[in-house]
Formats: sequence, structure tokens, C-alpha cells
Amino acid sequence: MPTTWKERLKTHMPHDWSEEIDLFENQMILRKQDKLDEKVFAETRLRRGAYGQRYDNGHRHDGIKSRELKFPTATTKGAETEWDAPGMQRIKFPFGGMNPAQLELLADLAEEYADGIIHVTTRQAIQYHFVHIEDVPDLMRRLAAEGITTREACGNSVRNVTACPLAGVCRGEAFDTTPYAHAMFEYFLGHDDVQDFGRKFKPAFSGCEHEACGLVKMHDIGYLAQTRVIEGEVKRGFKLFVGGGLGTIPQQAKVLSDFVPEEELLPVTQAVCRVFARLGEKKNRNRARIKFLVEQLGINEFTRLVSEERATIPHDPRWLEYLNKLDRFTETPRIDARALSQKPELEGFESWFETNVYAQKQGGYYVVTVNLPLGDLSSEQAYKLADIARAYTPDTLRTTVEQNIVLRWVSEADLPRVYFDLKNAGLANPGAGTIVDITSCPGTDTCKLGIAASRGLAAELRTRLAAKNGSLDKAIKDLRIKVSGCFNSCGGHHIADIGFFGNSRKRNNRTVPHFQVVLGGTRKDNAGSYGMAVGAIPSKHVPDFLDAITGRYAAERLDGESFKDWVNRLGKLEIKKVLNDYTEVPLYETGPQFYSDWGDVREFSVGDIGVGECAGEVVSLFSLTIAQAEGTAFEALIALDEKRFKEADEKAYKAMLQAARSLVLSKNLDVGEDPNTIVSEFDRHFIQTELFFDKYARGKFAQYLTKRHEQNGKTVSEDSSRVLVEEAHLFIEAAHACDARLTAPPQGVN
Amino acid sequence: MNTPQRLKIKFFYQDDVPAAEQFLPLFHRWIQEDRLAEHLLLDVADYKHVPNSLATLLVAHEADLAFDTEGDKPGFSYIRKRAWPETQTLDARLEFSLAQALNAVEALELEDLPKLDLESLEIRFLDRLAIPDTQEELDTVLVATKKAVSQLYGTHDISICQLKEDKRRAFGLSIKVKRLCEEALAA
Ligand code: SF4
Repeated sequence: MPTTWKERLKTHMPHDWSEEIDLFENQMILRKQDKLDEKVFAETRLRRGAYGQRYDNGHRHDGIKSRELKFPTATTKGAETEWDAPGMQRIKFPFGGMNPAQLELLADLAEEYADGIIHVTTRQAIQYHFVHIEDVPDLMRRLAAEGITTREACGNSVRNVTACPLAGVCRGEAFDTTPYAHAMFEYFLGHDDVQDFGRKFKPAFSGCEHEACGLVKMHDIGYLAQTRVIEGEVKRGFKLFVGGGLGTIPQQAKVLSDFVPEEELLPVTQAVCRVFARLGEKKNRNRARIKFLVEQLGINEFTRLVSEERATIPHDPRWLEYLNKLDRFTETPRIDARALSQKPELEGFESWFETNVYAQKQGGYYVVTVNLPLGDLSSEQAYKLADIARAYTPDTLRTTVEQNIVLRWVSEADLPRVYFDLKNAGLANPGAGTIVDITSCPGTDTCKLGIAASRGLAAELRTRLAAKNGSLDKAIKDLRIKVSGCFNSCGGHHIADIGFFGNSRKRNNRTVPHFQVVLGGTRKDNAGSYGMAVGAIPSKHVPDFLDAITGRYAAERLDGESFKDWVNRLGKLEIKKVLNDYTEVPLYETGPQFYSDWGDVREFSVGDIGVGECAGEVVSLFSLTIAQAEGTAFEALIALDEKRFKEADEKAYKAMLQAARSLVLSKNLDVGEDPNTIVSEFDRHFIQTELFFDKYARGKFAQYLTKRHEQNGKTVSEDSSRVLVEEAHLFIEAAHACDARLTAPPQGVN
Repeated sequence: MNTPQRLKIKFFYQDDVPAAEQFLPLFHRWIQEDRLAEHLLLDVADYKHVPNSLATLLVAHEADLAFDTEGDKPGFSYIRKRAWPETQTLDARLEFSLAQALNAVEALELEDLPKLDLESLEIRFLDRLAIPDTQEELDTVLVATKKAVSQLYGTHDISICQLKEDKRRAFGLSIKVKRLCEEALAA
């Protein structure tokens, strides 16, 4: 009997997969012997989906002081990343598809290598946390033996290919996008043309224009299924979008082509990849996503370059081969469709049926959504879910971008039994697709960049909303909430009705967790429009604020008025009034709970740096002046709202100047008000010294000001003013963060 | 049969069961106080929203400790993951993990929480390369387990049976210790 997974599984996976994993294991050995550069190893590991995790630099603030984590192995797996520190492992599931055997394997691996939890991400992938790097090769081998890869799950390449979880069964789709999404995954996995990107590249498929499931407009590349009658024949193809993305500054994707015929899907995408690899930014990570290239060139020029490139690519038979096997993904139901003869007398069935069940286009069959709190399920639940999938479906499970899992092809007559079995597994939570179905990124739980506890907040809101679910107004129930732990927007806060992203503020010389409120985003129409940041409130006030804003919406909305339209009608000034009731932070002595985050009892700190007593004077001067900047930024928002774009642009610029000045004052009290002097002093004291630089974003935020300063007098458009207003808010956040860093005591002292 | 790379030892609560959230401040405090000798305590993970899980987890480099609701049987688990003693034998690993688990339980007993029933426990081999395939291998495992438990509990009055609830679950044993020797435990 083989004694290692390597021996046991060698012949159970494609040869090249096995070789790649062996190679990775060898690179690990070389790294441990210091024969492989840590940066090279880091990129290798990322391209295998093995990510860093919070505290892997060997420091953690325990609420009293920053502690050094003295790991036994004296080497690193990347810059400032300890070898022994637990990491995150991401696993690709193209279009979110998996079968029960794969789910069972995920359960085994969660138990053996992670913390017993299988986490569904906001891009239909799976993540494990607290994985030791030395367990990774075997973990990969066991996945590979079930046809699953972690390759390019992270790193600067083509990431998981997402698609609507209803593809193939949706009542509104043009056609089933599943085989196309799979072909895309297969073709580009490890392809030479996708190895030299400056940043990641995320593709998404959608079967229709108006629903939310595919979210193609917020992706680097998006495919919207279309049919056309050409010479009397119905032809399949895709409307192709490029250059969308959330991140710090969200961008709507632009249309590259109204109709790319199916035969051209892979070659045109390949041409896009080649243009991106050749012309995309490589040095400045903050401008390296394809959205910046599309913005810089303009969509017309980008399209021209793509079509020029397309003409030069030598033919590859794989472009068409998969089209002969589209029915490979056709699903045949396990059980004949039978109608439900009478309403079952099962407690909770009705409310679950109302929200978690969708009638497929195939009569008598339903899609059941397993609503997972925070996208988590345990190994034990996964075994039970695999049993349910085997019993009632043709082995078809799909993860969703809402961090849930769906079962497809459930016969109507089986719904009560499915509900009963799910309930026994603790998996029959109602409320899928409603306000309780909150998505969240990992935030400070495990993400190295997290500022506030997005999962903690999401869990708290979910608990409170679920408790009053029955009594909630229908208009409130239909809203969606998304939470990110920082401005990077992995939780997708821009496309929620009500979004939150984590930040912090200093009050009374202590750091207080806050969330920026983002209102009025739209998931429908494939992420049709983005919400606007309206102001930050302390984390502990968020649930009350949510009650207030949703309560007003329910009471004041006109018939059929969407949340977005209501927010626009109310206006930012009125919204600000609601917000103002929740901005106060009590003194530590009277409200110590405000100084901890949700789900985390430690006193809050940013970047493991506590807040000391020594910088009171600077802080108070800073607090005074930064408040002006915040006010001006808010005025910019109002101007934007009222379509006074030039004014919005000028106010946003002024807000950044004020924020910069508030920092410069700590170095040069005589700086005055002249923009040139402020910028040059800011450059001297904060840019050249890198004091203003964010640890990970580096000088990105500083560039927002310098770029705008250089462009003074340039024509202003709706788009450019919108971007600048966003930038101004982020610049102010960065000024707060910079001040917190400058006024923090040395590490180890609270 | 391989020696398991990961061993889970679970003790159970009886009628009086603490809430998962009680373990959050407790585990954070244990990190602040460096409460567990021979362990590098790293972080706390909160999964109380997940039924049948390691609901509240204290992650250390060597082991994970958890308020554990798996199998709908609330308990406290010690999961040894690495940093094993030099001797690679099954006997050594079982005895070592059980000793460490009992140390953790001892720390927990000092807290203001309901008490665990130490007379019944489960041991699982969270390593599917280390499953006893033959009767002979199973006998070896039973003997090694009995030896480790007797050593730590100071009694031979022990009954052990294989957990057979679901073939997909990691190999596990249910253990009942009839006459608990308090002195041995305290030692
Ligand atoms: S949004 Fe920020 S905290 Fe959340 S996962 Fe992304 S980088 Fe991390």
C-alpha cells in the first residue's frame, strides 16, 4: 500500500498536473534551502492558489500589545511572510460547478489540512484558511485526482471563470453558457498568453442582459449570451465587455463587440489577453488592471488593437473543438418531475420555499438555494449535502457569487424531503436572495489588507435581520447588503443597495473601527451601476443606522420605487442627516465597546499598531483640519449628484488639498493655502519620504492628488468627476491612515 | 499503516453546555496570557454561525483547540497537527497528544464554565493515509490507544470501540474510562 499521496495518486491525474505539483514541491525544498529567491517563490505559490493570511509577517496585536509570533522555521515563503505562518488556499471551480464526490473531498481536506470549514468565495471559488504550506502539495494532489485545480486561482493570470448558477435551467437565458465557460477555463489554464499580465484577469459569463447572476459589467472581461438570425439561421454568440472592475475605483465595463460569434469566442479573448499582456501596466500595480488600459487607450482604440491582434494569431484547433461537444454538459435529471400534491405541514417550509426555490424552465423542476451564512459550511454539513445532491439531483451542485450553493433539478414533489434533509444538516436557512443573505469578504478575520471586521459585521446584521425576518416590510426584505473589510471591494459593496467597507477613525487618541456607507448600487443588469460613498460611521452604530435607513425607505418610498431611486430622490443632504445621528463615538470610559470590532473582543488596532498618548497635539490639529476636507468632499458628492460636474471636480480637488495640508501642517505650520505650495510640501514631506504610502497600495493615493494637480484646467466629464470624487474620499482615508501610523507608539506599547 | 499526521481528541459536555461565544473572549485572553505551555498561540476563528463545526477555534502552530459542535455533541477538542515528539510511533503520538489535550482541559477547568465529562472521549485520525485496513492493524491501534489512555488516566478499566457512523468520516474511536484516577489526571 503506497504510503504517500504522491505515490498513491500519481496515475489518477493528468500527467502535466502531476508534474506541476511535483515541481512546486521541489521549489518548496529549494526555498527552504535558500536556493530560490523569496519573491520568485511567492509568485510561484500564488499561481498555485496558495495565498498569505493575516499575521503571516510574524506579528499580531493581541488587544494589549503587538506580539511577535516566533515560528520555528527560520525561512520565509515571500517578503515578510513566515514559512510556518498559516495561509489561505484558493481552489478554482469554473462556473461554480461541482459534484458530490468533489464536495466530499473538500470536506476531507478541510478536516485534514484546514480548520474544518469550506468557504465559498464571491467568485464561486472555494477557500480554506489556516493551511500550512507544507501540506499544500498533497492537498493539490488530492484535488487534482478529482479533476480540480488550484492553478492560477491567485496571481496575475486568468482567475476562476464565473457564470450564472442557473445556466442551463434559467427561464430567461439566451442559451446555456456552461460549456463556453468551461472551454474558456480549459483553454487558458496555464496558456502562454496569460502568463505575463501586470495583474489578475477575471472573466464572467451571463445568460441574459437584465438579471444579476453573471455580473459581467464588473469584470475584466464579460460575456453576455446572445442569439442572432444570420442568413436565416439562429447563431449563438456573445456581447463582449472589457475593462470592468470594482476595487478602489469601480469601473463599468465597455462594450468591445455587440456580437462575437461562438467560433470567435476563444480567439478574440486570446487577442484581448495578448493586448493586455503587451500594453498593460506592469510596474505600478495600482494601475495594472485591464480597466486602466481600456481607459487610457479608449475603447475604440483598444478594440482596433484587439482586432489587429486577432488577425495575427495562428489558428488553434481547440477554438472550435469544444463546439462539437457542447452537450457534454447537458444534465439529465435523476428523478422524473412530479408535482407536489399538497402543501407539506413542515415548520418553516413555506418561508423557505418563498425565497430559496426557483422554478426551472424545465417544467416540474426546481433549483434550491442552500443559503450559507458568510459562505461557510463545515465538513460534516458537506457530507450531508453531498448525500442530498446524490439522492435528488443528477449530481449537480453549483456555488454562487452570493456565497451560496445551489442544487439543480429537484423534482417539485421532492421539495419537502429536500427541505427536511437540509434542515437536519443545518442548511435550510431561509432568506436566500433577500436582505439576510449578506455577502462579505474575509476582512480582518484572515485578510492581510483588512481594516475592519467585515465578517463580524455581516454576522451581526444577519443575526438581527433573521430574528425579525417575518416582520420585515417586503421592500426591506428585497434589499441586498454587501460588506468589504477595506476599500478594495472584494465583498462587492459597490453593487449592493446598501454596502459597507471598513476603515478607521481616531477618537480620543484611540482608533475606532468604522464602516464607510455606500448606497444605491445595482446588481441587476449584470451589476448595472455602482453606489456612492456617503460617509463613515462607527462599526457599532451600523445596525442602528441600517434600521433607520431601511425604515425610512419602507415608509417613504413611492409605489414600486427602487432603493437606488429613493436614495437619489432623497438626496445626499438628507442621507447625511440620517448618517449624522450615528457618527458619534462615546468616550472610551463610557462606551468601550465602540473601540472593539464586531466578533472580535480585542481592543481595535490598525496594522497591529496601538494608539498611544504622545501625539495628542498633532492629532488634534489634524482632526481639526481633516474635518474640513471631509466637508468639502461631501460637497463634491452633492455637486455630482446634482450633475454640476465641474464643481464636483473642483471640490474633490480642494478636499484632497485640504487633506494633504492637514498632514503637511505637522511638518510646516506656515504652509499657507496656495495649492502649488501645499502639493510641493506634501511631495517633499510625504511622497518622497514615502510616509504617505500605504503598505500595500504604496503611492496610489498620493497620485490621485498629484495627477489632478497637474491636470488643472483640463476638460471635465461626468466620468472624470465621478472618479475624482471617489478618489478624494480615498485620499482622505489615506490621510487618516497616515496620521494613525505617524502618531502610533513604537510596536509593543499600547 | 502510516502513523497519523493529525489527531483529534474530543471530550464532551453533558447536560450543562457553554455557549460558543463564551470561548471568544476566553481564547483571546489565553493568547494574551500565553496560557498554554509548549504552544505558539496564533489566532481565534469564529464559526459559531456554522452548525456541526469547530465553532470557536483557538489556532496554535502545533495544534487547534475548539469548542466543538460536530455530531451535534458539544465538546472541547484538541487537534494535534505538527511539532510531534522525535519518536514517530503511533504509541508515542497518541500518548503525547492525549497528554497535551489533558493539559488544555486542565486550563479550561480553571475557567468559569460548565465542566467536561472526562470519562468519555473520542479520538479521530484526521489523516486518511493512516486508516487501519486489516484486523491486525486495527488491533494495533486499539492496543496503542488503550496503552496511552491507561498511562494518562491511571486505570485499565477502559472500553474502546470503533466509531462506525459514516464511512467517509475519518477513522475514529470512542473511549469510555470507567474508573478515573484523579491523582493520575492531576499529575
Ligand atoms: S476588500 Fe479588503 S479586506 Fe476584504 S478581502 Fe479584499 S483586500 Fe481583504
